[in-house]
Amino acid sequence: MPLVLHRGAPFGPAEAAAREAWQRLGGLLVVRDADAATRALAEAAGTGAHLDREVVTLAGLRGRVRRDAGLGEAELPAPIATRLVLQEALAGRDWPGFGEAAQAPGFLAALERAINELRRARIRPAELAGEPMPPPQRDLAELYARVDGSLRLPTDVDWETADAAGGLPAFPPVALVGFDDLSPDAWALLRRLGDVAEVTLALVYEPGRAAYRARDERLAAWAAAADRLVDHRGAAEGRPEALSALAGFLLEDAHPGPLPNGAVRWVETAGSRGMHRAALEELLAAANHGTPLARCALVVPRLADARDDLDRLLADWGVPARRASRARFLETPLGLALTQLIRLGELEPEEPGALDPLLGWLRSPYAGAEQDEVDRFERDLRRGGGDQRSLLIGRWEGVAIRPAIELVAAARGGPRAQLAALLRAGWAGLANASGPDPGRADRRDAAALLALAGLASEVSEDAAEGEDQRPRGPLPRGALGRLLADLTFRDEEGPPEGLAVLDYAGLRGRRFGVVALCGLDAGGQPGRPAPDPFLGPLRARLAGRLPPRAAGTDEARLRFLQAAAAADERLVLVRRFVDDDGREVAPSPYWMETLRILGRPPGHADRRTGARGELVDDPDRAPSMREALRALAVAGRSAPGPLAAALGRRRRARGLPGRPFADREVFNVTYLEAYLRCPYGWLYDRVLQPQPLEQPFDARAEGSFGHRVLERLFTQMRDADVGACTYAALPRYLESLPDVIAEVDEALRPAAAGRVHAAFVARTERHVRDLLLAEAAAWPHLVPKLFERAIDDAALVPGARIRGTADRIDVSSEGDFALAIDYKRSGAEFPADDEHVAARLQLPLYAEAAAHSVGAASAGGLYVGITRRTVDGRFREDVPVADGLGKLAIPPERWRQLVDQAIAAASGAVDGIRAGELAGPSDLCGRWCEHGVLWR
Amino acid sequence: MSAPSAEQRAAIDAPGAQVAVAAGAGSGKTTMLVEAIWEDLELHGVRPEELFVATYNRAAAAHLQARVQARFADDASGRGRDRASLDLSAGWVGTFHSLCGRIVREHPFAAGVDPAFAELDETATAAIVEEALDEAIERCDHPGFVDLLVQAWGPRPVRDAARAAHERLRAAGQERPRLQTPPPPPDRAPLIAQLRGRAAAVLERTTLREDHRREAEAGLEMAATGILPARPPRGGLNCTKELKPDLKAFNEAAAALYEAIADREARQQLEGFADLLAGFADGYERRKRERGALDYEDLQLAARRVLRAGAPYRFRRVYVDEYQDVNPLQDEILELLGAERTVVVGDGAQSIYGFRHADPARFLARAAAHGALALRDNYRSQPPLLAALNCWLAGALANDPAFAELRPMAAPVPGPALAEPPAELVTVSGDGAVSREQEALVVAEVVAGLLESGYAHRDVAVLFRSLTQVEPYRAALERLGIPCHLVAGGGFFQHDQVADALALLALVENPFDEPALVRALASPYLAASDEELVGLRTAAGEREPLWPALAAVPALDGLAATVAALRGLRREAGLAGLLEAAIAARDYDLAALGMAEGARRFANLRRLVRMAESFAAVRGPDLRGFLALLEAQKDLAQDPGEAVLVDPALDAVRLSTVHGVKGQEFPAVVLADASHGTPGGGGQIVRVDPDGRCGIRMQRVGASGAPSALYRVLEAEAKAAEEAEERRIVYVALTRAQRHVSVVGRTPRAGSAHQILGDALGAMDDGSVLARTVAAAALAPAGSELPQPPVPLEVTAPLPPAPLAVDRLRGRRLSFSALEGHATCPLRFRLEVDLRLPAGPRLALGGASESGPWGAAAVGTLIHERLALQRWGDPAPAPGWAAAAALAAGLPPSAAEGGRAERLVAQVLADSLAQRIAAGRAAAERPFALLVDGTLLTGFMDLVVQEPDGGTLVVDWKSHRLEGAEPGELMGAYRLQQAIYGLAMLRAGAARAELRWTFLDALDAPQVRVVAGADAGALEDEVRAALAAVRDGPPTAAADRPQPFCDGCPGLRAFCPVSRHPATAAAALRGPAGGGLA
Ligand code: SF4
Repeated sequence: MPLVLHRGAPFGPAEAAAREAWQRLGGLLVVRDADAATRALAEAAGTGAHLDREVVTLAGLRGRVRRDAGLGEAELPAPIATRLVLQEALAGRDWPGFGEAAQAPGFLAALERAINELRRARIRPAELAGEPMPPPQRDLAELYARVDGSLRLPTDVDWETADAAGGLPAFPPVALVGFDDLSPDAWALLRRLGDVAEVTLALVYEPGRAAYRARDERLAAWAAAADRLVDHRGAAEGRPEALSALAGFLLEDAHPGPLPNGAVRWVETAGSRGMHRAALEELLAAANHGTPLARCALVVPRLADARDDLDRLLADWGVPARRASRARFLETPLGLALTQLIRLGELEPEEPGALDPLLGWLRSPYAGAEQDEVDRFERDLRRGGGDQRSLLIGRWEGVAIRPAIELVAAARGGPRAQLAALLRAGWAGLANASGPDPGRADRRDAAALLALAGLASEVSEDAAEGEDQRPRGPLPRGALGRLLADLTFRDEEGPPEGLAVLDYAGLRGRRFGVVALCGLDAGGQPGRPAPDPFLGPLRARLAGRLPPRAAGTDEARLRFLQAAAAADERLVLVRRFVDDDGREVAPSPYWMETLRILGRPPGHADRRTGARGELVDDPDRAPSMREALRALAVAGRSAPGPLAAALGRRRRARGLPGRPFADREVFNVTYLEAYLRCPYGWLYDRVLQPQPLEQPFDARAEGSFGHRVLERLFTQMRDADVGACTYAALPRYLESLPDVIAEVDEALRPAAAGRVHAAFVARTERHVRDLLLAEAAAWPHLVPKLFERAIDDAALVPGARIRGTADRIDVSSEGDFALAIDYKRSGAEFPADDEHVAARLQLPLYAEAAAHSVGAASAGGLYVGITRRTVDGRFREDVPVADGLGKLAIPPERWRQLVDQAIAAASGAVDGIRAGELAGPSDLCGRWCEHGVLWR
Repeated sequence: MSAPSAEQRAAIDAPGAQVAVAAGAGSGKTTMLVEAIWEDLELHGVRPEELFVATYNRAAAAHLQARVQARFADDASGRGRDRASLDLSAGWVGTFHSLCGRIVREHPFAAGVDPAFAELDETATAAIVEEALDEAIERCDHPGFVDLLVQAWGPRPVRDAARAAHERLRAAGQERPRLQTPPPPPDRAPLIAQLRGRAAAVLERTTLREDHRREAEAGLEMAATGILPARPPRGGLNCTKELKPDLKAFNEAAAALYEAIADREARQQLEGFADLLAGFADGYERRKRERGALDYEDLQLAARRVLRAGAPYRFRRVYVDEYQDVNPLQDEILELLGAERTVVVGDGAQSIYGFRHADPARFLARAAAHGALALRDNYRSQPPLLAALNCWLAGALANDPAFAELRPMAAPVPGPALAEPPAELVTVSGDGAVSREQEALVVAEVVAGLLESGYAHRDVAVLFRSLTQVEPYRAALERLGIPCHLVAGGGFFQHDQVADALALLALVENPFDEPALVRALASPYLAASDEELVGLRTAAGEREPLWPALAAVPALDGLAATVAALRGLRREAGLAGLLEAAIAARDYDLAALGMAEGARRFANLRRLVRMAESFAAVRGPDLRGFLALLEAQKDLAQDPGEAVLVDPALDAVRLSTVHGVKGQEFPAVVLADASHGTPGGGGQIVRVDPDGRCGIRMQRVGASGAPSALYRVLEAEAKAAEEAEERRIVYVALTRAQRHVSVVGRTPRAGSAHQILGDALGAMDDGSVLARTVAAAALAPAGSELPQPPVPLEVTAPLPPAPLAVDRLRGRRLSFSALEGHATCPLRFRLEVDLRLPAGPRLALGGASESGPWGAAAVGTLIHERLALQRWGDPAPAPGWAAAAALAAGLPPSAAEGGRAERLVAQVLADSLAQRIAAGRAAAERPFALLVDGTLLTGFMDLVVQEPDGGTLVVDWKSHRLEGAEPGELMGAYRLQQAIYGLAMLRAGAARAELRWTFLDALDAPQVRVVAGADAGALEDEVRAALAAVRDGPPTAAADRPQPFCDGCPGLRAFCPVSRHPATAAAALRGPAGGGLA
């Protein structure tokens, strides 16, 4: 029984020969994947039907061999179980060669890959031992020896199968197509089957061509081991001239020169989305011209990077597409929700910082919590609740918290128990989240959990593929984090007849009508070389027994050749000429190469610039209604329906013509001041008063802390009859200060107060202390009498009651004059000129109202800055307020004038508010004001 | 491509292992580099992987790569099979960071990093920095630090200083930054004694003024307590002659002690700060390690570790572009590469990255050491302009050793007439202070003048020192109808569109976030009027939450539905998808696009989507985390900048920073806001030099900080460096121009470009630069009305494009059992076939199984396998075969089950059917496939017999226990099976087929259907109808409690009501439900 090896161009006569053998001999046709198998069967069935033709994947072939050899179904441990074994072995001793890297979260997965690769090449630990090696490889060899007996890897099963094949008495004929490479065990299996059955292999390889250099060594070895070798010249038939030229001449010296047909297009775009859009637009154009969608392929260099953007674009445009890529467990919504639970479990019961993970879990659909309740729960907690785990778990009752409690308990049992608890929580969460019609999200979550459980372990023929170099998010602590860090699973999506979304590796062996190749820019395709720190230094020693690493330059070249050969009708090459931030991006050498082959000048391309990267320029050719409306909107056009309505919302109706405050009677002084300063600021801050979820302990909070301290302190001093804060009384003031500070701190301390808060309290104490010293130094004569005094005066402005709170009222010893003091955090200016009346209502009105209330005359008012100890304001020169403040004294009639001006301004504000007058923002306001949101 | 000039040729051919090339602006250094690299590869046999080319940023690397490729493409000679060398991706061309990243990836163990490390971008780095700082601040209990935190104005300055010191020391090559605190101060006792003595001398005076007494007493108190007063005690010297010497002596002693005490306190604070920094650096390091991540600086530090350990790199050529911007760590890496030949190209006069710790002295030193070659031919600026610039800049950079005049080599190119003179300094003056808005009007007029004289819009670049204040300029240009394009602006978070979309997302996270609610309502999402908003507040009541009141204001209620809809998308859409949905919600995107500059507004939204995408790639769809991160970015003033609408051909005036146009050229350059002065800088409470020497401005509550001696030194050094850099920025800005330069400013601030150039111009007398003053125009009153959005042109509504639907069954491969499964439970079909979920757990329903200990399926399999092996006409197999087969299949021993299987097989073989089969040509287990409406139907026929009469007999064995039922009653779904098999046979060429479904328990009542060619259409219709039922039927679960058909169903894990039924938990779920981990 012979093994015949046909070699030739992709989809060329070599493949035809193998298919012909299948047709002739019957038996099994082996193809790359299940989709390819379905396609091959469908092609063979055509409009009729066929009997006795089977198409399988390599895994299917192995299954058949196992069945015939009586081996039974292979049982494989979960990948995570393999990692557990490795982790336990690592923990046993120091590994100087690996150094600190052995503790890194990506280490286990990389180590697992390396050991897998050794096993796949059937290299035993003994073969590594003994020879001088660099320290990391020495460690690898020792570790490999240590775990050798306790590991059963998928590749071991494959070898077992290959070995069994040699002992079979007979086997149906086998033909294999669509491969350019085989793993060592796959080759061994086929070679052994070749001893008992007719085996016909078609491998993509054209001897002597530069593009195949990556395969020279292996194909030579296999050719030598084949019973018969047939090299085929010639390429796939029936293709446009340009496509044939590309497949035939890529990376060769000769080239055919300019070829006048439209089978190849070069498109340059700005940014990644622009690139994806351009590719998709080209493919849709082909689909609209009759190429079935399933015959179109969109190819990107790295699916992990492009997946999300493409998924959204395809969904937006309503393009059914199919793709499979690897995703990280921790990146899925379920993985994230479970991570939040783990984080919650990791915190000590009294440790702060539990609110975020708890809410992260409760907000996820997996918790099964009522979202309205969660909203309120969050609001209440952030407005003054504590943030420790014990407290929060106590407050949130119900089943949603149970998984967290279980995980906390499992943490004591080590990583295995944690993983099991995580799985339980995951399945329960998925049951909460899934609806009556399970869809894509359910599949993804289930696939993630199955991967965690090891139920979906699958053998990748490209073991070295799939290293994901994107950053990881925060990981669970310790061993669990290292186990989960790089746990990935296969995420599949879409109907079989949809547009194919692939990476360059996935395109191998596949044939389409129209192919759009994206990422033909520097760093895209070819990608950066992927070094192999574990096995790299061993490759030379193991002389060709390890397969070449995927992203090497030769390998990338072969991939590109196959990609270019995958199109039967049209090839679209797409590159970014600038990245998303507008930085130049160089073209890929392959881009240049295609231009050279087809005789186009280096700059030849259809370039999409400006908004064309993100919007279509012709509404009539828009892929979706929304795109069409967007195109109209940006072109300054409108159409009846949603677009016209949206354009109508570009401006909002401003003003209060309905006079909602016409009957208002009570007005706060600061309310009026706000209105006079800026009516929109007033509307925002004083009328709408939107409350943030959490009031940060910021400047405003600091200000109220100082206010409260001064109020308490002065109240105590007044009650103890200590009198004004003079040098004589100062020691009493200072003596009481620490207690007052402690008392206020007790009342105002935020939930998560730490060192910064403590420093703030200490600093405030110093500020107040310095303020008291400064007050004493100013030689005050009035006596502090009233603090936080509510003002409510119906006499100041006719027809309105004026309200407010005066921080402090000092009165003269005879009680005939009252002075209003307002504390400001760092200070405030009192503009005493006639132009700024509106900015200084507070002091005159408070002084006047307070004086009314204590039966005295108003003497003036002062702003006192707590942190800077500044004092500004005005007072009657005939009242001895303080020796040190002489420069603020004014004639009594001027003070009267200031008061009258303030009353008139307040009265004007009252009228304006009642009339609903709302003038635009003043020059002082910028768009950065919070109330800028209203001014549009 | 033109051949290199003589100067460039000399640089390319320069001998020696170390070459430094000083390349002036516009001197064609890229041309020289490209040529040198091309020659290395093409003529000198250097392989791409032996080449290391470091550039200062990604765009420069890309540009260089593109130029090298173009150089090869240009080359007519071709390179034969070795065209492989074209593949520069195997070579080392990139930024320092990316090249170092590659070194580390190749040697993670020597570097001590994660072998699968990831690179953190700036945003992710900033987030970790802040976390580490929070932790360090909470943990550091050094008394000096505690004091510093109390004395400083809040934690912010301390954080800023810690961040800056950390960054600076790492750039200088420190792995874990540590400060060198100064040595302890000398003993204070002599100073105390001295002050006591001198104070006593003052106090001894009998006639002493009160203030003098107080100062002397304050001095004594300071000596006694060691507490630093607000200022040094000091007696006024306007006193009697006799007192004067004593007071002077007292003042000196008081000042000395004051200094000493201050020094001690400052030192304590500095030690505390050093302690904080160490904690911060360690915590930051730990955090990164925990996730296996490296920041940009780590890449270089780790690469240095690899190189120091002696990694096997043998570079033949190292080229460094813009060497003047290299920092000490990068310089060390260059040394460690140990290349055969290292060529650095730079221009000391263009060193403008001091904030990244570049030091132009490095270039000068290298040039001095290796004898720099110079490229001084300028191919950019027209000779009259270059003459003016040479003279003007010579004055501005008079003290800069790197400055050298350039030789005019630019060929005359067609363009607008050169102005006479081609350079000008414009000062905007007014009665009072001139505002930026007023200056902007003048800039706009200058630009308008250039346009009038024949420049195209795209020919003009308006350059700024920073873009933080660019809006007035943009507005002024737009007022004159001049289109402009901001090349990279700031203010991203201030854009209404960005803020609106984020507000809606904040509501999705929690609708009680009221600032977000008000914004969303007021935005084009609803365009709520002022009155409606007031109505909302009234409906809610004072201080009550607004959200529940939304229902009371009908015009606003729609938002609740929008938020609910977006919440429903959270799981499915992912973070970026959610954001895209938020952007399109209530047609917000259309409103934004319909505003002035709609495309730019939309581009900003798209940038936000990209940010969400990159966040989610790291952290998953964590909306809460994303919003928090953006909030933190805003707080840290980390603005990602406005989105760019890339269109090189766009005919608009470019607005950019000077840094943003490095390496570019424009026909006309306007340097605007030139009197702006140095942005940022200064004010740090701690200053650190690259060696870790540090000084502090001691913090004191209520007083301004007191700088230590070393602080003053470091501050002076930094100031001098900043000032020199400011001059170089002027150089870079002006040398971008080909034909014309205008510099516009108002009241010049010290150190600003305007002042530097004004001073230089003052010393010039050749008239090559025009100085003019323009009176500031009065500004229109601001803010009275907003610009109206453009009035849209009405068109008819577009038709929706036809949907691109595909049949979900097309292209699928279905077996009859899958279709049968659908008939049993559509939900299971959805899970297994549509969603391709693997089998679920086995369900042991407890008690004796109705179908015996082996189960119906296992018995059926045994019988089928046995019959498939049977050679028809041979006798029945010997008894005992069933037990043996069961043992091989791992079934428990059961005489009853085995007996039944053997009995059934024996009956079949004894039946007349067996003779009929034996008479024909029989083949068992025959695979078949056929397509119906694009769906591939496949399966295995139990037995196909070619009968002697040419007919075809298809037999299917049914091993069910009939339990009293008639076989016909059980046919149900099997009729479809018969139709499929029949169709397959007809399509495969059979003229007639008898389909005989044989129930082993009732051999005498076979279920037979005979089909012939004419039936094909009807059979197809039957199959089609079955497929339609699958396609159109809802995926309902067939049960809500465990049933036998649920065995192995993926729905048992979740998805199906059965998974939640208590009986499911009770039924032992067999199989690896926990992956064997529990
Ligand atoms: S568990 Fe049973 S009812 Fe539920 S989906 Fe599976 S088979 Fe259907």
